[in-house]
Amino acid sequence: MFSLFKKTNRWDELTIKRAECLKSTLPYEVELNLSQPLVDKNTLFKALPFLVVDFETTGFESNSNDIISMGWVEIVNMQIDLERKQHFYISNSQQINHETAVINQIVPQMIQNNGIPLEEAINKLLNDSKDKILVVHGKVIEKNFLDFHAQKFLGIPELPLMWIDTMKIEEWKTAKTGGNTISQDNRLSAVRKRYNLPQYTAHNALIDSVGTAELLLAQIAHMYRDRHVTLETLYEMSQ
Amino acid sequence: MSEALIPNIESFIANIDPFSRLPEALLQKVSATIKIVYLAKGEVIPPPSSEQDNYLFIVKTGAIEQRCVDGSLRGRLEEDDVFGFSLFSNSEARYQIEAIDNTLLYLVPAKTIYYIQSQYPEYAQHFTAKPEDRIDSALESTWSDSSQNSFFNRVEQVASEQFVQVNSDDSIAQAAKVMRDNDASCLIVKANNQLVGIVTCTDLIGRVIAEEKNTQSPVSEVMSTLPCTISPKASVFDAAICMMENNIQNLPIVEQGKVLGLLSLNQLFQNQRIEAIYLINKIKKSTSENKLAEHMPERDRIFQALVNDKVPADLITTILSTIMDAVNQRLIDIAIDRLGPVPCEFSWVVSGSHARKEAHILSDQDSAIILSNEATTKDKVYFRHLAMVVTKGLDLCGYELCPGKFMAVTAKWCQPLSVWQAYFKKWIRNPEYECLLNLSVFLDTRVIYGNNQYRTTLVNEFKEMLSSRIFLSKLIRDAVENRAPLGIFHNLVLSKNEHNEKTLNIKRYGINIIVDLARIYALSAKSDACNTTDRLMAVNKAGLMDDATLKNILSAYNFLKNFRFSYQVDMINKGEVPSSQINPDYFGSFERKHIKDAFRLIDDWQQYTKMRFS
Repeated sequence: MFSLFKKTNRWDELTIKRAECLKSTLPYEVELNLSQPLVDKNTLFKALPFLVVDFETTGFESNSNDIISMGWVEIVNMQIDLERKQHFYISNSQQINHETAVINQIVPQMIQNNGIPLEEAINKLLNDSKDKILVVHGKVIEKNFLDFHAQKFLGIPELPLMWIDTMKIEEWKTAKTGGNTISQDNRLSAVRKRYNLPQYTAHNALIDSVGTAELLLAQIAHMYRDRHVTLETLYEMSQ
Repeated sequence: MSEALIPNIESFIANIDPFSRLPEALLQKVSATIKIVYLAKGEVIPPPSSEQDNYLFIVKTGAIEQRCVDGSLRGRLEEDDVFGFSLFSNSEARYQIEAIDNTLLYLVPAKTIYYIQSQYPEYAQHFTAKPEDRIDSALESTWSDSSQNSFFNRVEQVASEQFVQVNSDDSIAQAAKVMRDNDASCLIVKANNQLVGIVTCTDLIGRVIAEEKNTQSPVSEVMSTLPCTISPKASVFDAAICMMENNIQNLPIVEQGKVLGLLSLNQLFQNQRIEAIYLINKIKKSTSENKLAEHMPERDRIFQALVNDKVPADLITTILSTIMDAVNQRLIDIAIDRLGPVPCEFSWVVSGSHARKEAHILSDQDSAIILSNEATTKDKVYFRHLAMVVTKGLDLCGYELCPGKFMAVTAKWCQPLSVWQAYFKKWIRNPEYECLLNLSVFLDTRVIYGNNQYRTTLVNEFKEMLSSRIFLSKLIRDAVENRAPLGIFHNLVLSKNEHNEKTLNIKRYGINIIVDLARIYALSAKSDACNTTDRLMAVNKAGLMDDATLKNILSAYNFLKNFRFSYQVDMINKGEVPSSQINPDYFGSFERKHIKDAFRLIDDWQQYTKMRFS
């Protein structure tokens, strides 16, 4: 049925997808999130409330790997607010790949002792982000894992959320300035380095979400000195 | 939430003064309230409109510049620097913040600072809006932790009340038995229940055994009569200075004529051996310039030990001045032994930092001789010879010759009182450059040998003239020529005219500004005090300086002096020659922050004083 709307823009497309999903019976938080109207696309960057999120996973495959932890932090009035942050370990991860655990500095005890079920964490994320714009560095992982969860447990094809992607913004910027988008290293730490943002030695989902938030502020400051950029433009860049 | 969730941020601010002083749990709470902003180069943060918008700022990366409302540069700050304290007080003018590089700023909200201040009063001082309080707390935690520093304890807290005594008509043998039976090395001698003397083991060896004296003689024949005493309320510091100046190791503690106890050198510094007193003893016993010079490396070791023990700078300079006095006095004695008795009355006057009891390891010699008006031409020749021996001797002992030749060995500075009176008259009437220089040297004087009256005569005669407004306005012009810099930025010294210097002359652009202004204030108050701290206190007492200013200036002064000594000891440890020229590489964010505060206090005071005396 989506073919009927081929001519519509991404904005309307997302609005329709959200309306479609709401026809199913969904957990309260999911319904609450999807029933919020999308933020006006002409809203300027300064006035946008962001929720910057990062998942630590055991791998890239949403059907065979697990989410180990989630972290998020809010940006309000262009200030990253560490008072508004969350970090959860996920308790129903099947097994932690030894290498991933080392990279992420997570040991199984942490998860057993402090973890919460994946569904609960996702519901918290959807609740906290219900009236905010989600930001992520490289949306593929976060989006795929959430969509996998939606298909498996909610009976909907995907979670139609609006994602702003700092990795895509970086690619967009490189392409626009005539740079080579293929050879450029666009991993978070590499991009941060190009903006002279501090190198963090420690990593967890929360630190990386703070790191992504700092990157977004830097990207916009450099591209739009007056910060005069609309949500619609940011969303276009993120595709 | 015991586990650090944002370890990168927590560990960063844990290294930033004053947050570095907070316990880990509080640090986690503080971290969790931080806001982060990004400024592109050239962007400006407007002054906060309400108290709610107040923050302490930490520069995570990049650099910022502060400009006052009139556009003048207030300061530049780099990575790890903290600013915004003054935004919490309404008294200070607001300023504009501009990023001069792409900058990531951490913002600690005002409510967090208020929380620390109200819930953890023990850390409140470090977060106060007043720079002088911040310097004080930095001083306290860095240089004078009272728990490990016993100098400010009272004598009664450290002395034992147990002492042994005999009567002055008891025999020497009886006295020795009392000492043996009580395992005492010092004995109080009384007559009619009044203190008349003390006897030490050393006295028994030197005055009894070596002299083969009859031990049945009364002890009064071998005791030291009219010994120095100390009040139980006096500080350990005062007791130490008294022992040093008099080269003694035992002080009876006396209150209202009653002996309460006996303070020995060993009791004074159980943890902190004060080698200075032993050095002074050696100096007093040296019979030649070479022997004196052999002891002098000990002076540098004492200096290092005092700095390492975090002894406050004013105490260190007092000790170094006392050592310098002893060397100087000993050299005069050596010269007199060699040249024959002095032909007429004289006084040996020291000037400059030595006179102010602010001697440091780089102090050179500044001296003069005031002769009796009866001195003949031949007498003058005698004293020039004496001065020659002393000057050369001091040089041999590491006290360099004064480059301005302000030394008694110069004919001009070895003159009868009448000539000195004529000098002063001329200098005060024609305060041209050279006269002012001469005056500023000889306005700080102290007699360390001979007739003290000559100096007093000079000082009293010119007190009125020196305190006149016209004269002071001339002096002030000179004293405001050097201005304290704004701070340290990117390893350079940032000055008011926005030029950068490669090294910081902490003496010229900091300490000396205070010393010069204190002298002017003291003249204005007609105070006889010579030491800078004493002068400032006297000026405050005379009502010419309010308590707040006094506190500000003393804080800045003590910080700079302590900082200079720490730097010099670090240089010595690295095998370099210590100096007052500080390489900005030496400054961490802690030093940058506090030295900036100190300079700001000095500059405010200097500009105020300029208006006041001009």
